[in-house]
Amino acid sequence: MPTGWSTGREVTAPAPAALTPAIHRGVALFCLGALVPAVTMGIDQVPSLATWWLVVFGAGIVVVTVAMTVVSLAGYPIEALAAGWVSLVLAGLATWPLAWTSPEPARSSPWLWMCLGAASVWVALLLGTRWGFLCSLFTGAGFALVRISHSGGAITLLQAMQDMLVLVVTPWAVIIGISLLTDAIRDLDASLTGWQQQQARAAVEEALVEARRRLDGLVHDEVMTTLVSVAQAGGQRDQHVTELARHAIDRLQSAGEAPDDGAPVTAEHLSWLVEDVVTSVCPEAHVTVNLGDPMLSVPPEVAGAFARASREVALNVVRHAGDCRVEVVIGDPPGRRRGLQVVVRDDGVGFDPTGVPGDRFGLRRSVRGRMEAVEGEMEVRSRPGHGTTVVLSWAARAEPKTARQGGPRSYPKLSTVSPAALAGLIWVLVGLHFVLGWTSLDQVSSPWPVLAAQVLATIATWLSLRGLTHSRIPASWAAAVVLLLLGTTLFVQSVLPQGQWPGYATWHSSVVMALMIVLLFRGRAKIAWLGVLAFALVSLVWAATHGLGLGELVRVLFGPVSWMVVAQLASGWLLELEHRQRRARLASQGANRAIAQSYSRLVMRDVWLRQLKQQAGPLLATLADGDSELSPAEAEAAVALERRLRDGLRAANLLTEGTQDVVEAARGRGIEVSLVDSRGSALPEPVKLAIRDELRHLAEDRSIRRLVVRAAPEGYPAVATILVSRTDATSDLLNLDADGRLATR
Amino acid sequence: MIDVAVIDDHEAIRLGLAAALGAYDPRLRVVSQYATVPAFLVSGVRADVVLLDLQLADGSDPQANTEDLTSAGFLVLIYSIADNVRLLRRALAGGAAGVCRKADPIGQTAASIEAVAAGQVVLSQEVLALIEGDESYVAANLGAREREVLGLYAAGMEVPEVAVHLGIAENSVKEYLKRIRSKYTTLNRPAGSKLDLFRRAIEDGIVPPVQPRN
Repeated sequence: MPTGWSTGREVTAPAPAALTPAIHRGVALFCLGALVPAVTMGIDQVPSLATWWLVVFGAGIVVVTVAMTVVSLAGYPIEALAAGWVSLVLAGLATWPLAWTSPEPARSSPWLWMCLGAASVWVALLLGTRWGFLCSLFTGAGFALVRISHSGGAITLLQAMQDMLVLVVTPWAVIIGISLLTDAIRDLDASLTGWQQQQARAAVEEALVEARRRLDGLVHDEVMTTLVSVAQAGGQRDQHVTELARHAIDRLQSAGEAPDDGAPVTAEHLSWLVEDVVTSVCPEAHVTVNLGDPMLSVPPEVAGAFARASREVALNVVRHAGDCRVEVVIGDPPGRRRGLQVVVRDDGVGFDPTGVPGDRFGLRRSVRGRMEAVEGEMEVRSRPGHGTTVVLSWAARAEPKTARQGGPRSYPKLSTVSPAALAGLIWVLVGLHFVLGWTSLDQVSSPWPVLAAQVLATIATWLSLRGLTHSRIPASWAAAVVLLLLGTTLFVQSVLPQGQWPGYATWHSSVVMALMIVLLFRGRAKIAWLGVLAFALVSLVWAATHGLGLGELVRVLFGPVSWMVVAQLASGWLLELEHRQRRARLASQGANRAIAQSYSRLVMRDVWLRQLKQQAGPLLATLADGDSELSPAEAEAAVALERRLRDGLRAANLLTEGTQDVVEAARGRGIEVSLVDSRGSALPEPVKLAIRDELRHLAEDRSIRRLVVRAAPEGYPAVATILVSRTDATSDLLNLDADGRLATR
Repeated sequence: MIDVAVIDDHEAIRLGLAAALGAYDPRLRVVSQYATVPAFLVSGVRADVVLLDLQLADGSDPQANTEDLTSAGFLVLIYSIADNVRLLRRALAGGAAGVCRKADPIGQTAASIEAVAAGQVVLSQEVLALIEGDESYVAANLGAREREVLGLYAAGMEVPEVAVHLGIAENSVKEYLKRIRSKYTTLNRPAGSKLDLFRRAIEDGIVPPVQPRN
């Protein structure tokens, strides 16, 4: 276990992959719960059904339901069981009329209907939303046909249509609800991943800035002071200069003694690092990242080798390939190996690899050596005129060491479900049940209380959805919703018939259910449960006073109570995940910081220090050797180096790889070059490139005496200017826009 | 005769400068060398111009240093390597008469010292570019013409070139530049607002520069 992620792993929440089992488990539990009303209804129907049907379908459905629940709770996949269950339910429905042996028509709807909605939800989960919708249409139509038949109770067409409507719309609502939740989780996941990337990048930036600052301090205090002293002394030997030079060398030496001891990084982090390193050298490179396992743990020495080798390869492209397109692909090694591969491809001049001595391009020694030291490989493919491809690869050891398993985690938060979509769904559900109520007006003694109930229910719906964007609903509103729904219930019950099941005239129970779930999710669980309890009590009284049995009571109560339980479990799960998300954020901040520090330790500081040593080392060594006299050329070199370092400190904003060489070359031809940075923010990369290229071009011009390159402050029409002063006392001011395009004025 | 005091924490720089100045122009005499401003002030040495290193080893603030010296009656010329932009601006705001670089040819340093001793404000591209980069100052204090002159001068044009470019007299250009320069010194610049602090953090390299939105 890599240390950098130890805190991250503890708080690992279910991955998106783990979201599916959670939903499956929930639906399996619901199927089990649905058996309760199904059994109470089915007991009456058992004597009328054929034995073969009861054995195959009746017992089959019960057994598979229990098996699904047990297997899913044990943490195993239940797709196959669910598919079997769906097949049993659908075949059971199709064969129902054949299995009906009694000459009497059925007195209640086939108990299977409780399972039909769940079957559509399963189809949606297993095959996709579209198939789920399609399945609900078919089961709805099939069920309506069964209902019209002798075996289904020989009900009227209108009643059959009501059943069909419910069987079609209820699964739709559930499927939409689940997909809204899944979308929300996916969005959240993406935002968390984005957030983590941003954090990691910010941390890297910060660590690099810090490392750069320390190094700049070193350059400023030790190296530049030494060089300036040499310049002042006019090349004469001076004991102070010798001491300063020795001190500077010591400081450079001690700054370089940092081993690759950072924390392991993930393949994804390494890909950012390689991208940063390559584009800092070769900004026009097109980088593609395509990692099979972004969380693959990469040891620090391998990360360091990749970053340094990539930089070396990119530098070679910039130096030797000429004008060309550069493509960098960071991905997996070929075959099925776990590991990392960086391919740098250019369509430049190319070369003949067999004809190139080992050290040409510096590739053999610096890159191959570096990769081989970490058991990686380097391959160079090139032909003159056909570009060059360099492949750096490294295979992870057999043991799969993923820093975090299963990819990015998911942390759902219901408030990210679009409030408008959610409100729309609730209104559709409520509206549907109003329609059911209207089509059942023949069941009630008077239509007016039903309409009054619907007015109350409309107000309750509006109130419960009001201000859905602030997730918590005020307690007084929630209480008002409960009271309105009690009023709705009492109005409906006042006109229900005596001693018989009123069918969809009890439409209100589904409205109560939907709105109580809304209250639950809007932070009023207690009020919602009180509402359900009150509804249960009122229904109990109604069942007792209207001569109805336990079966009818269960039928009215099952929906609200079971869905409330499901909703309560779901909301608890959501809260838990939100809590984990907070902890994961904190943990990843720490991890990012550690990774960022190891980055800067590993690579950039190393690169900068090496550059500095290359630039200043030989001269400092000469200066530190107090015995030898300084030649005028060496004194001149000290001044030139000081100027170069100064540009690096003060005008880094204008520089990109190669700019300093161009500036040096121009100065070598006697052109006075000044770099001025008046800008508060980073100069766009195209401008830096344009400056470099323009300077390269201008440096060839013998008539130029002086060049001043300046990054203009923000808000000026020109982002950068180049003043060209000629020996004939004329001058041009070149203006560069944010895309690096040139205009003379 | 111009008496020069050097305040720098590097002995090599102080000695080197004293030797080089004396050799270049006998009228310039380095009368004292100190590593900190308080040490110089308590010494009671009189000098016409004080060459002040921007970043002293005691970590003192360049604005405070410059203010202490100017209020004691000294003319201050900042002597820097490749210093932090914010610190240079602070020194200018504290009343420094000019900025010169340690790496400049000694003749240029000598000329700056003479100009400061003569009571002039040293105009240099570096100083005006620093002022130009101080966006909040430019926005609040400079008129359109002043900004134009400043922009061209900071972009590298010499005074005559600016004059030709804008079709105005050379003297007017100089006047504009002097006015811009002297306004900047007398300006009180408290680091009050958050935005200001943020800008300074960028200048100090504490915060990376913001990539502007396109």
